Amino acid sequence: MNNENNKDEVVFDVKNVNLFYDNGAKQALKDINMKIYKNKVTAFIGPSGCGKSTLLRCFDRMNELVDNSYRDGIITYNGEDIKDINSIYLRTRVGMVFQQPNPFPMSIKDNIFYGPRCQGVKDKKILNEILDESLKGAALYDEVKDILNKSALGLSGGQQQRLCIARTLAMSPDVILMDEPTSALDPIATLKIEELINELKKKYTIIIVTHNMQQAARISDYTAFFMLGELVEFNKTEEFFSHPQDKRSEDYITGRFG
Amino acid sequence: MLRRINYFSKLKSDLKNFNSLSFKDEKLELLKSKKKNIKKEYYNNIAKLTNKPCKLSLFYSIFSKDNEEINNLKNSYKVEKANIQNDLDEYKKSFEYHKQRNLKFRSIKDLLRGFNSFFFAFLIVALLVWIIVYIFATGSGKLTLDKIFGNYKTETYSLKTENNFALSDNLDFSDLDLSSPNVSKKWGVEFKLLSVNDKSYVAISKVSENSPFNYLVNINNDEAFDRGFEGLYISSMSVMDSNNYLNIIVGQTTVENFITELDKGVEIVDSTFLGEGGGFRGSLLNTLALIGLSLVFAFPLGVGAAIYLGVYAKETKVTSIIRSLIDMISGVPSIIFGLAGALIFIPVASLIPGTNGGNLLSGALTMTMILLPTIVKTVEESIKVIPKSLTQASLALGASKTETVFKVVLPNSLPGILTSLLLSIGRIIGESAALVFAMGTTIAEYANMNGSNATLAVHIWVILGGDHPAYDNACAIAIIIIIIVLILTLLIKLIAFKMNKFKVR
Repeated sequence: MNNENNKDEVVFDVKNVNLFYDNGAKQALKDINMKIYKNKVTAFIGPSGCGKSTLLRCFDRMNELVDNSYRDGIITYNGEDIKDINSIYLRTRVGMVFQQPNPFPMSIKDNIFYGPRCQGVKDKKILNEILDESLKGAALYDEVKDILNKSALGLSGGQQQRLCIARTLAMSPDVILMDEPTSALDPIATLKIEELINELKKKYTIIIVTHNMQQAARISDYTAFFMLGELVEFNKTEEFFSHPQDKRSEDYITGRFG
Repeated sequence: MLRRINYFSKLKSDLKNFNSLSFKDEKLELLKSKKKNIKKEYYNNIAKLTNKPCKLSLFYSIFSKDNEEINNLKNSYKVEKANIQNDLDEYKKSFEYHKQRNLKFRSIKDLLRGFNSFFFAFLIVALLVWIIVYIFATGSGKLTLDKIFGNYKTETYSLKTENNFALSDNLDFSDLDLSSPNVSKKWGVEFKLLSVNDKSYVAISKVSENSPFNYLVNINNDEAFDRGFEGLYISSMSVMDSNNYLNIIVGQTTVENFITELDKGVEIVDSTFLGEGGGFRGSLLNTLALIGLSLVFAFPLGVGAAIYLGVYAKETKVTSIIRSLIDMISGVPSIIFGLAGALIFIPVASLIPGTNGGNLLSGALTMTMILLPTIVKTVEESIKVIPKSLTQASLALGASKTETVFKVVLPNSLPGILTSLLLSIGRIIGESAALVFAMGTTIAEYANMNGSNATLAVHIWVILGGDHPAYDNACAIAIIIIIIVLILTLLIKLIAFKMNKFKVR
């Protein structure tokens, strides 16, 4: 948008994206144009049903799993149209963390190994390296290093969510998509995840959907504000919260609606 | 039991003291007593005015219309009465009144319901216990290891002494108790009575080392008899005495008689030894073979169809038709499947060389048809309750759809899969109507593919079918069936418990 942004490297470039559900009866995204910058945290905010999660799911082509939906427009990943990239390969490059902590009902170890094993990694040495690295990356290592063979469902909610992040890190992705990762967690667990995101952005590009404007202000570098499927405003977070360009964003930030 | 009795007496006393329980509507009572008081006061006032007894004052007041004081009283009473009545009516319309009234009815309903559910539960449990006790009481007498692993057909052996046999007088039979009346001192054999089908026959309990009975040969081919006399009883025996007279001894007699007659002879010309028979070994093995073979066909098909319907299939008209067809098939009586099996699968099974008519294969294919709807429905239900977030997480981690099915969906639907396995096995063990047509009713000695052979359930059907239904044998088979089902249930519960160790309970 602004000229000064151009020095940042673009990871995703979204051009004229429209998305329809129910065979076109419902339009969820209306002509979205935006760029996602490398090693930055981009926050998507907006009222419920505004299409921010839908757009997030477009980045790793998870939206294609919804029946009777289609998308037009172009999304490029590092300059390549994501429709031309094998969806399985794309999902190894673009990890995703969901709203509810959803570890598999397996041991903590097997949860981390799940992704690498699907990619054909069988060497125990490599797997153990991945295990250590990803657990440390998700700031979970000290808490679970003695119970790696225990069930992942025995962990607390915050630990489970960090395990899900670790599971994503085990794929050594490039981008991490987070769909309201802290909405099911208590404030302390939320704080831990936020600290983790601040650490992670040194290595990864992060896109986070959140309902919490304070959270967006705290952790993100860029903020996109959506309403009714439209991208109302996309700007650096500081500028977005201090000088909103659009009347609607100002109303939303100041709590006049939404 | 004591608790149950207490419960009953509590129910009884509750019903008895019902009206005195705390269901009084206080406001209603207050209004009613107010109404009564006003009436009483009115009568008293009139009685005071007229100086008449209270009971007559009402009549008096009717006749003295002109008395102004009485009229005043009457009017004020009317107004007060109307007010109170109004209050009462209004209260009766109010929600509070309904709540109070409802409380009464509800508690009656609850009492009845509680009694009902307890009573019917008791009835069902009593019925089940009665059935099981009956089966065990009737069948346990007949249930021996010989019966379970024994032949069904009666064994027959025709034996005689060797050719050129001569009975010598001075053989040493000291390994037998020669003082016992049950021992033949001439032949060196100890006899006993064996009860077969409520008749007692003479049978051989012990043979001395030097006894000529050790060298009996088959009457037809002169081959040595090496089976031993275990479980055999004597039907008849033809003995030649020293004067070359033939003496036929019947086995259904006392041991003493038998020995007296036998000791007269010097050569056994012909003897018929019979084995008891009526064992279940063949049917038991056939049942196990049918379980295995049917599951080999039905399980992959059923689980595959369930995965297709639960994971891959989109909701279209075709899939909804398939689903309703599956529902429909599970409601078809099994005898119709037997018919279909006889028409379709027996010709297929007859393609195996050396077979004729229904056999294990046609039975298993028919059972597959019966089992499929159950397996598909149970497994599909258990696939559908797996949280979508798990499959999405798997896909988001770069797993393909097939990997997701085999690594996330199937392991998590394991309880459903095991349940369907258990239901299937129960169905196979219990099925008789379809198998009578599709597999045949011949009771075999071993599991085989050659032709008609019965499972345990069909075995029951066969032995109950004749002129003399053998209820005790049928109950013995029923005990075997119950025990098999019990063992399998426990086994599958154990497997499910072991496999579920990562689920937090």
